[in-house]
Amino acid sequence: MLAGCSLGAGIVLAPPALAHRSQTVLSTVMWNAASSVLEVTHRMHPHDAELALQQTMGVTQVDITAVKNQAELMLYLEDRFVLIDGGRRMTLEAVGAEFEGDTLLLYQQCALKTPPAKLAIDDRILRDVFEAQANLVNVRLGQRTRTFLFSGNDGVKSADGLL
Amino acid sequence: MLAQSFFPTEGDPLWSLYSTRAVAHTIDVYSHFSFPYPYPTAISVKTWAGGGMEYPMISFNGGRPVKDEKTGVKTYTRQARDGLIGVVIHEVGRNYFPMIVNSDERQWTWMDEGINSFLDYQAKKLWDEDFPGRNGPTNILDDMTAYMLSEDQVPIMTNSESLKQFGNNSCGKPTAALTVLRETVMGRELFDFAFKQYARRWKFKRPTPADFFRNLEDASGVDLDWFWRGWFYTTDHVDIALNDVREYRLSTRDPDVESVLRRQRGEDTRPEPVTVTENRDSGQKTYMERHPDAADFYTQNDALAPTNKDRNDYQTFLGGLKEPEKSAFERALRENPYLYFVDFENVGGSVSSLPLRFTFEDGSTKDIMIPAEIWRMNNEKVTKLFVEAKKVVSVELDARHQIADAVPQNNAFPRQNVPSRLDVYKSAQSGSRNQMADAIVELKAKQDPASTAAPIAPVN
Repeated sequence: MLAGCSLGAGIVLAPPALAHRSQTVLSTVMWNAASSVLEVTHRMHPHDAELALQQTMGVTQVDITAVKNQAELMLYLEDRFVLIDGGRRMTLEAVGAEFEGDTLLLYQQCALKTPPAKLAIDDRILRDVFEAQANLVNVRLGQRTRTFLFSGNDGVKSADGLL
Repeated sequence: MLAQSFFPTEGDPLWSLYSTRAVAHTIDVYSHFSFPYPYPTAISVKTWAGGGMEYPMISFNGGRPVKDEKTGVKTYTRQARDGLIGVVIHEVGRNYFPMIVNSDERQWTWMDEGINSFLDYQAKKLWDEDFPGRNGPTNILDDMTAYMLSEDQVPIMTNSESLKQFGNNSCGKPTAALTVLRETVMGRELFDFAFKQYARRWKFKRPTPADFFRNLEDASGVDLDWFWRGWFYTTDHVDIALNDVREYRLSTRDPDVESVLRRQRGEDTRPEPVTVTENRDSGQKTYMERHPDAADFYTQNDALAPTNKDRNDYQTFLGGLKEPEKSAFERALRENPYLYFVDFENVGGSVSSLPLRFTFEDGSTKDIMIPAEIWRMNNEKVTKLFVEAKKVVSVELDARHQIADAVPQNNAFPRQNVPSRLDVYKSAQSGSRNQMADAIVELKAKQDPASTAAPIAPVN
C-alpha cells in the first residue's frame, strides 16, 4: 500500500550519521601501454563535489552537471591531486567529466614514453572539506595493483616498485 | 502492512512521487527473497541531504530537490532521484538484515551490510534495469574488479574494525560474491531456495558465518567450500586467462583422403618460397627442368601419393575394428567434427566457473558454462576439449561479465583490444570541442590575466 504524508514543519535532528556513504574519492592511476598515456580517473559523489566548490572555491550556486562548474572542480583537483615522478611534478591534462549513475567521474591524462619509474602521489582531494575524508588511489602501472589510502595527516606516498 | 513517508514540503516534488513507492517496492522484493515482512508498517522520514539511518520499522533518509535562487523553481537531478530511491531501499531493507536475521554487525559486517546490499542490488534492478550501482557501473561485477585486483585488501571475513576499505569490503565484494553465486555458480532456482531457507531458519535468531555457509550448501546440495574459501577467506580475485585454442580434425586413416589433406595443409601453412616464385615468374628454368635425363624414382613419384601398402594397412585397420569402436569411428567420419583444445590459466587465484562464448565461421554463437569443478585436479592450469560441428573463429570467456573476471584483456582468443575507460570517453567525445578545456583556460585567465599557461590539449 502506498501512503504519503507531508509535514509542514522541518524536523530538527542530531547531525546525520551517514551510515552508508563514506567520504571517499576513488582515484585510479593506470598506465595504458597501447596509447602510451598515464590515465587518471577520479570517482566522487556529486554532492561532495558541490560542497567542495562552495566551501573552497567560493562558488555560490553550484550545478555540477554544468561544464563551467566541472571545469572549476578540475582546477580544484589540479591543486589537490599531484603525481610526482623522480621528484618532479607531472603535468596532468584535463580530459573531461561525465556521470555514471550517481557518481561523477573526472578524467586527466599525461602522455609519456614510458610509465613513471619513481611515482609518488599526494592526494588531498576533499580533505580540506571533510575531516573524515579518506581517499583511495589504485595504481596499476604493470601487472600489479596497489591501493594507497590518504587520510588524516597523510602526505606524499611512494608508489615505487610497481613496474 | 502500511508503507508511509514523512517529509516537509521542501522535499517535493521528489518525495511524494518516490519515497513511499520505494518503501513498498522494498518490502515486495525482500519478502520475495526471504520471508513476509512481520511488522504493521514501514516508514521513510526525510532528514538530511544524503545518506540514511535505519531503525525497526522506521528509517531516516536523504535526498532533496534544489531550489533555483532566481526563479524559485524546485528541480531535482537524476542523481538525487536515484539517491533517494537507493537509500530508502537500503535502509528499509535493514529491517530484514540485520534486525530480524540478527547477525553481529561489529564482528561480521558482511552478514548485514553485505547481504542487505546484495538484496538492495536486486531491488534496484527490479525497480529499473538501468539503476546505477554503488560506484557507477550498473553491473556490480564491473564495479568491484578494481578493488579486488588491489593487493591492499583484507578478506571479507575480517573483523569489522580491522577493515581497510569498509564499503568495498563489507558491501561491494559480498554483493558481487552473492551475485556470482546466484547467477552463475548455483543458478537462481537453487540459490533462491537456499537463501530463503537461511532467512527463514534464522529470523529472530543470531546466525554466524558458518550458519550462512552451511545453510546455502545443505539446502541446495551444492558443495560451495571452494567458493567461500576464495571469495570470503582470501584476497584472491578471479582472473582466468584463456591462453590458447588449438584446432584438430579427425584422421580418416584413409590414405587416399589423407594425402590430399596433407598436401593442402602444407600449402596452407607454408607458402611457396618467394625465391622460387620470383625465379619462375622471371622465366628461369631449374636444372632439373632443363635436364630431364637426371630424373630418378623420387623425381617421378609424388612423395605424398598413397602406396598400395598404405591402402592395405588401412583395410587391415578397418577390419580390426570391433563394436563399439567401429560404429563410433563411422559416426565420427560421418559427422567429421572440429576438435578444440582450450587452455585456461588461473592467474588471480580464485577458481571460477567458465562461461564461454564460441563464435563460428558462419557468424552464429553458442554459450557454454563449464562448472568450477573443472579445477579440482589442478587449480592453476586446465585444458578442456570441445567437439563442434562448425568451425570456430573465436572463443571468449565471461562475455556477459558474470564471474567478476578482473582482467578482461586475457579473456578472448584471438586476443581482443579492450579499451580503457578513458579511451571510451575520448572516443565518445571525438570530433567535438573539449568544452571543459575551453572553460579551464577561461577560468585561469580570469584568475591570473597575465598567465601564460598553455591551453589544455583538446580531446583527440
